Amino acid sequence: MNKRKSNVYKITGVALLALVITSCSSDDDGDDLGNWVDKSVFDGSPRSSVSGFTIDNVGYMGVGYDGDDYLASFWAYDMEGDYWSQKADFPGVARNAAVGFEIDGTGYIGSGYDGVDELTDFYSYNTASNTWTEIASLPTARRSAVGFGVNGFGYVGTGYDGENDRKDFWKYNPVNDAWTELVGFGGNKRRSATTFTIDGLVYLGTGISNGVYLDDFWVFDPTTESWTKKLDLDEEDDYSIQRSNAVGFTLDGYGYIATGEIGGATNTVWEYDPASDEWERKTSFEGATRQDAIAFSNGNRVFIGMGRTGTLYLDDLDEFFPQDEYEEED
Amino acid sequence: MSSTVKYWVFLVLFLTLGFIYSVCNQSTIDKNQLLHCQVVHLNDGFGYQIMRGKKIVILQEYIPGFPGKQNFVSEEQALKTANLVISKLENGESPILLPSDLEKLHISSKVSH
Repeated sequence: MNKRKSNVYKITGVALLALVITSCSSDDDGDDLGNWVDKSVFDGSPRSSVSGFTIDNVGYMGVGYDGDDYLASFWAYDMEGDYWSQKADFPGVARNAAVGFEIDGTGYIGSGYDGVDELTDFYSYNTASNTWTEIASLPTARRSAVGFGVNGFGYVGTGYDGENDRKDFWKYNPVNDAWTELVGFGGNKRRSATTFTIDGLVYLGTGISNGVYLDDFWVFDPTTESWTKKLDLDEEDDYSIQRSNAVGFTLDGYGYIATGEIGGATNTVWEYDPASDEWERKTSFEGATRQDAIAFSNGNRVFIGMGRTGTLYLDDLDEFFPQDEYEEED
Repeated sequence: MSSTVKYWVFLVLFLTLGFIYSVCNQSTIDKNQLLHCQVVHLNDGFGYQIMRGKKIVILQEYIPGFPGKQNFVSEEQALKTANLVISKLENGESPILLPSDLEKLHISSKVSH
C-alpha cells in the first residue's frame, strides 16, 4: 500500500518536472533581439490600409477600410498619455491605400482608392487648428504609392493607377502649392512598397509588380535629388525581406521593415544598418501576422498596429523596443 | 459519525470560501475593465474622456469629426456623446462617431448658436 503510494508520488513528481521543463523551453523564438509591448487597444475599430504621419509625440492616422466601408474618420494617438482622440474628419471622399507624410510640422494625406476609382486629390492637416485644407491634386491618380516628406518637400511615387503599376515620382512644394515630376528613379514599377528615412536620406524597397516581390533597394538623397542602388534585399541567403504592404520606420539611426504580405500576412521584422548596408532579423511582431498596418515613429519611439490578416481586420497597437530582449508577458 | 459530519462541515465551508473568493476576485477584475466616462471641464465648454478602469482610452477635448477646436456647449451634450461611444465599444463596434451620429444626438457647436 505504502509502496504504491510512493510510486504515485514519484510519477506525479516526474510529470510535474516534465511540465515545468517544457513550459520553460517553449520560449524558443530564435535569439533575435527586440521586444514588443502591448499598448492601448483601439477597441473594436479594426481598419487597414490607413494613412498617417507622426508629428512630435502624436501619431495621426485616418481613412482606411474596415472590411465593409471606406472610412473618413481621423484619429490621433498620444504616445505619452497612451490614449486616442477623434480629430476633424478627412474632408475628401472616404478611401484606403492613400499616402501620408509630414513636411515641417504639417501633415498631408492624399491619393488612394475609394472602392471604384484611384484618386488624385490631396489635403493638408494643421495640428494646431485641427483643420484640413485641400491642396493641389497629384497629377496622376494612384493607390498603394509611397509618400515621404523630407527637406521641406513632399514626394509621392510608384503605386497602381487602376491599369498599371507605376514608377514615376512627383515632388510637392508647399510654398507654391505645386507638383513637379521628379525623374531618375532607376527601380522597377511597383505597388505597396515601403520607405524609411535615416539622417535625411530616404530608403525605398520591397513592393510587388505582376506577382513578383521586388528585391531591389534604393536610397534617395533629397539635396541632390538622386537615387543610388544599394545591396539587394536577397543579397544574403538568410535574408527574407522581400514582401509588399509592409511598414517602414526609423529608430535611433536604424531603419526597419516590418509585417506585410508575402503569399499571406507576415509578422517578421528586419533592421537595416545604413553604415554597413546590411540587414538583421529582429523579434517578430508580437501580435497577429498582418499587412497594411501603420507605424508611428518620432525617431525615439515606435508603435505598430492596425492592419489585417486575410479578411480579419485588426485593431491593436504595440510599442517596439528593437534592442531589448524579448519578453512574452508585457 | 460525528467526525464524518465535522469533515463534511469543514469541506462545505472550505468550498464556500473558495467560491466567494473567486467571485470577489472576478468582480474586481471586471471593475478594472469596465468602460465609463467623465466629463472634462474646459475654458470654453466641455469635453469627455472614456476610461477603462483608471486608464484613459479616449480623450476628447473637441467634438469628434468637427473641424477646428469646438468644445461641447453643455455637460449634457458631452455626456450623451460619450455614452454613445461607450455603447458602441460595448457592442464591439468601432468608436468612430459619424456626422449622422452627432446629428441624431443634436450635437451642435458654439459657432452655430
